[in-house]
Amino acid sequence: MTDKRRSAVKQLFAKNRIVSLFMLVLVMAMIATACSSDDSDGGGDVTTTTADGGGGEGGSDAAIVIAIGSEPSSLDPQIRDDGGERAINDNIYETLLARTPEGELVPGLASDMPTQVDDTTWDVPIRSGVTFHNGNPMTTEAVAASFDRIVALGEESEQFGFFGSIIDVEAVDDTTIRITTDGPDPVLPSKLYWIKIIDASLADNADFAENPVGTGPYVFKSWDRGTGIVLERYDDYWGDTPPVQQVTFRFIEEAGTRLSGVLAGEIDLMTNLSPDDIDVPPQSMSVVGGEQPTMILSTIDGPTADVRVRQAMNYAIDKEAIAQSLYAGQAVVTQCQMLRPSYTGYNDELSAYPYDVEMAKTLIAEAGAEGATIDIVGESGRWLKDRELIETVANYWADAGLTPNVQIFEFGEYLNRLFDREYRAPAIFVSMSNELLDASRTYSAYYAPDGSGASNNDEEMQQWIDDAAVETDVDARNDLYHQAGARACDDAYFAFLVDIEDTYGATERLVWQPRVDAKLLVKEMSVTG
Amino acid sequence: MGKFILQRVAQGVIVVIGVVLVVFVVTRLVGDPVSLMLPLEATPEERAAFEATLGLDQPLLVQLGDFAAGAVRLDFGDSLWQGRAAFEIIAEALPKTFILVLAALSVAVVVAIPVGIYASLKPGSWIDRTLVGGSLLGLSIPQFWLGLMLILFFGVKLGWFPTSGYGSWKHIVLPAVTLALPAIGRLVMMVRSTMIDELHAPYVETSQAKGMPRWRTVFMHAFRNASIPVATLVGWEFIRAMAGYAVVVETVFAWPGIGFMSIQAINQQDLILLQAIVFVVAIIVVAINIGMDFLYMGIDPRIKVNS
Repeated sequence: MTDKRRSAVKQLFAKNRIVSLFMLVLVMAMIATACSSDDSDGGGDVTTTTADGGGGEGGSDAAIVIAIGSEPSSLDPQIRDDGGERAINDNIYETLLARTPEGELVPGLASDMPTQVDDTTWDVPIRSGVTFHNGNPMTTEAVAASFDRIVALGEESEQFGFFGSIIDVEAVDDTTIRITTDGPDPVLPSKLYWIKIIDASLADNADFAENPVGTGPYVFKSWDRGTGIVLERYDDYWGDTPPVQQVTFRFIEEAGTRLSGVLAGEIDLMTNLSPDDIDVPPQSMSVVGGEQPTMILSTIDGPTADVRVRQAMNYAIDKEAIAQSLYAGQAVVTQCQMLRPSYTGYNDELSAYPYDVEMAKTLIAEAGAEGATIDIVGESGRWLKDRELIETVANYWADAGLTPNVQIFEFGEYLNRLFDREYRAPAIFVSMSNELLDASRTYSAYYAPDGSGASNNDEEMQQWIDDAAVETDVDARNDLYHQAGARACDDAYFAFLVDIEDTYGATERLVWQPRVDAKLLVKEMSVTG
Repeated sequence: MGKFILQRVAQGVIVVIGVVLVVFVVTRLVGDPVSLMLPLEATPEERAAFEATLGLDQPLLVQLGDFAAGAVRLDFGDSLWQGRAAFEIIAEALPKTFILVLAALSVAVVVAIPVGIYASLKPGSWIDRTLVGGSLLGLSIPQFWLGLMLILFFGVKLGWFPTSGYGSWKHIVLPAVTLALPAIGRLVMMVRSTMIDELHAPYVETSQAKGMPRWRTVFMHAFRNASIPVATLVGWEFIRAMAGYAVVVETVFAWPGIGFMSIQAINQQDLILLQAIVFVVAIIVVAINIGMDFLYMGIDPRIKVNS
């Protein structure tokens, strides 16, 4: 699947052993001069160290270390929208609905799936016998109080977009809560997968954001600022007892350093392994679920206003080659929509434009757009290989006879252009992620003409998406999104590229299946040996 | 003397105010923390509401006034990123950088001074050339690369030291060596060249002629005179590391110091934390500079205060 390229790090180390040795000698010489004491044998004997997890021989008292790229800003699960926070709190807190590793919604703290009473009212049965880590029982009143907090927080929370429609939650009886929304909200079940249930009686405590108490399989132990967070298994967890007893999350921004930790056996699992290093760690895993970079094409202004030019821009790009070489096989071709197969609203009848330069040239000739200048608005460094991807796409468009003009902006300025409602650049790079695994937010932002990042003026499209936003009938809603997806594909409102896979590096002993929602659920991990 | 101190402190205050003003204005002109903190798919209404909760919809002058009023009490406001007092974050991170820089510079000074003096004794010899070559190499190796190489060799291959992190004394060795190496290179070159100058000065020949032992001439006389530029360079290395160059090392080794925090503050567009860090670091730089002035007077009583 991957080409046999060896990584830069591996090469440096394997081939330039002389360099490493020279460095060693140099440093040893200096240390020796400084201390003029015991000269340890820094010479040839090279030993590989093996991990000693600190007491865990597999089984039930295993301790593991997970390296993530950023420290949580806070451990209050209802305020920030922050990957570091989620990585930790997904193990401490739980949600009413959960997802299987493949993305299917299943009951979590709810004992069954929600039922709809009317357009704006949902009943959710609540699991009994669940306790918070402080011993308080998770009653329906407690669940309602947890929701009351987010309703009260409103737009003060960065997660407002993920729960904004909920206006009231009450405990009907000991087993059921009733949720009221401000209008029909078909995305509510997905939102119940997002909203973490807290013990609201603690929310006013000054240390709530640094001393989380949830119902999840792991209990918060300690937070060493800047370095790591330790969690331990919750003995009274309502679900199956997880195999891992203790987990330490460490914050290591530099991917090369995370990888070194895995190679040294200090770290069992690292996130965001660079695709180029896929063969380096003892074990690597990947799953489609990360970012989806896309080019938004303007149907309003410039040469891209002609549908033939936009279609040509799709034909001109060799998506498969991008997936295979730029992302070293850790990406798959996007099937002509800003969604993935596991998402609600995905249209499985769409398929990617084939790579066909001749077709692209013909279409461009028909449109009389040979040599037309295409400004591409992009940025650099925020997403995996973003600049390389933008320049690769520009080269494909140049091959097809257009004149691409890549403009890389500082991120703030890039956002100004992405959200500019007055002027839509012919092509704007964007990287889509979809936390709720549902079409609604993505289509409202990029497909609907009134969206903050949309570049079309298709009134029918606006109608479909507006209708879908309040359509609670699952099939009817899906049909609307399917129509919107098909229109954007056929009329090439975007140049679709690839879905980047989430890639993890791990030690030999770790057993885990990465999830499409990128959650690091420690309860699903175990170690061998 | 008193006037001199007052003058230096007054100059320092102007520098700090200038630096903070520039940072304050520039970050607000180019950055947009709201767009960065919210998901790309957020609606314009969500953005506007969030901007108001951060207080960033206030006029620039009002924001600046709030900052100045708080800064004199070391109350910089709450970090946008972590939601707790910016000063608390700085107070946690600063000592960690201080320890790292201190360890690195101790190594650098202890290594570079004897090596530099030794090289200066026989300029042009093969030992001198080797040491000069080694120093040039040391100061030209990119720290990013050096850090990763040390991790790979001493952390991964030999397993002597942890690959990254903060905690025991073992954690400090690799980052300190990485930070020290370029400083060693520069210091050796400086010690060597000033010592060569001094060793050829007439007073050295006189002291030799009157029969003073060679080691006494070298260490008590020549080196004392050579130590002013060396002390200047050590001070400069300290400032350089505290004010920015530790960033690379702290990032590579996940060392949770002030450099690492400033990178995070920039990445998160945390204006509050960033301006607080710049303010505190500017004060440290000014303080070190003033301290260096007094140190010179201690080393060489001939330095007089111009009043």
